[in-house]
Amino acid sequence: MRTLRKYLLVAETSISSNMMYAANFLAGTFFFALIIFVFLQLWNAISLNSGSMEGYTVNRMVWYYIAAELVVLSKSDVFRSMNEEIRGGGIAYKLNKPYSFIAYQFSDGMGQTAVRLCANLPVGILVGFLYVGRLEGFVWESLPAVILSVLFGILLNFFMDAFIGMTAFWTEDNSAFYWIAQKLSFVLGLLLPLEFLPGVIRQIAVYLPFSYIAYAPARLLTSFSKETLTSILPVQVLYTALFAALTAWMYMKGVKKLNVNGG
Amino acid sequence: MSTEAEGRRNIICTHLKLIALYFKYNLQAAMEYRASFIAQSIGMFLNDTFFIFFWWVIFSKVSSLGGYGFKDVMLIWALAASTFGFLHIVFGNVRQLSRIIMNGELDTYLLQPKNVFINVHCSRMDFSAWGDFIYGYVLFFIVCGLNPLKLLLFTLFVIAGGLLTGAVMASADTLTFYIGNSSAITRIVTEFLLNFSLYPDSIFGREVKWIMYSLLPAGFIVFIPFKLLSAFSWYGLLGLMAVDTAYICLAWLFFKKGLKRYESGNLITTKL
Repeated sequence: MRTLRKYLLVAETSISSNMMYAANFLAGTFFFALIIFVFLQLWNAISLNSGSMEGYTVNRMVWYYIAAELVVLSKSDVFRSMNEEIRGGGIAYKLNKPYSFIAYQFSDGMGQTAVRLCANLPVGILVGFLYVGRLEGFVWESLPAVILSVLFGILLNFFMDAFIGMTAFWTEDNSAFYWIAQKLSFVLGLLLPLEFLPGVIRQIAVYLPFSYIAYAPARLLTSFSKETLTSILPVQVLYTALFAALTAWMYMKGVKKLNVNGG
Repeated sequence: MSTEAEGRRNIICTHLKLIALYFKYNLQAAMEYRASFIAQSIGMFLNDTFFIFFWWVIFSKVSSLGGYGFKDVMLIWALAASTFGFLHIVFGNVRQLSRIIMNGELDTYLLQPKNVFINVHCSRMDFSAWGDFIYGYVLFFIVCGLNPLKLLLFTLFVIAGGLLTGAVMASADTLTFYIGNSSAITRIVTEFLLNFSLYPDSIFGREVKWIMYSLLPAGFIVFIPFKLLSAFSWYGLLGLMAVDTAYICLAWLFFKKGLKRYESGNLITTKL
């Protein structure tokens, strides 16, 4: 119980420090609304003649982007934070403290995510209603599954970023890995639903973790069915557990070869 | 009169030399950490290539998007990538100005006998921007082939567009002199410029186009250059250069006025 309280305090501190930067927040939510607006214009132009594409009307596409971007734009800066700690040597001050480095990063990151999620969610719902109205075919029964999927999307994103951040123990500069992983998750489910991808790439994408970050919750929101739920959620949970384990393993390996100079 | 003109020419030459020297020393600094520099550049290059896939999928579903074909969109991306790349290579402090003003770090630049506006912007290089810059040129060669005249025009547009983008971003940062930390406004301005430079302008309505050709001139950064590359006209080129010059001069005057409000924090810093 005391251990839990310790990490809750870290999350609480993270929430209050993030709340201090109201202007940054507003910039973030503005970007969210802006990107949805750009995609609305883009899909209006694409679907001008056909009305819908791959089963997605403009209405469903906009709500798809809202759910997908909500996950991606609410993520924490764990990659940057871990990178700075490991490469800058700041980790040395964390190692002798009575907490786990990963659990500390997790609590801090979740605090950040909570603030961003709370700011982005109402903006997302508002722009959705303003741009295209109520989501076509929305069923209230899908909501618990969508919420769960959004949470697992955020967790998976966190552990993937943390996993890449851990490579700072071995490499001089790991930002390239981060950019590439980020763009893979963009093209495999964020910018385009998997249904739009060519056959072979779509089949490969289903087995990769990237589409379970943004595509999974967005797909559940826009095309909910029990089959979709059973094919998506367990894989999301599995990948989240896998990347959490990989992050812990990388940390154990990496911290042994840590060499910090100076004081 | 001729002495005045000569003096002005000397100032321009001195500052061009300053930019060249900063570029040289920043590049030498990058070469000290060669592996990191190359990794960042290649990483950014690969990062950009993923978007080709996105557009390829889109254009496999539709033949044209608001009058733009796949090659046209690639040329827009080439212009945008090289323009933003050029800006962050030569004027790497463009996203840092607000922080520099807030932290009172302008003191170092004020003590030097060079124009503060230019000096502060070009004293840093963003190494990953090389990836964007090269990516734009590679895309250009794929779309336009080896066409020396178009290459010359493309380079001119990249430089002019980079300066124009920098002028707009610097103006947003200059607001820090008046309202305190304006980095959030700069972020919004940057995102707007970037996002509205990457999608065909024909997909946007009239109101957005007004903004794109006035307050946040993404139209002059990418779309007018794109139209001139497709159908060149001297009037168009001269008009574009006049607009770019006007924005740059306004940004410089705005900064100069704002600088009078600067309050030093007496922070002792070392600039290497």
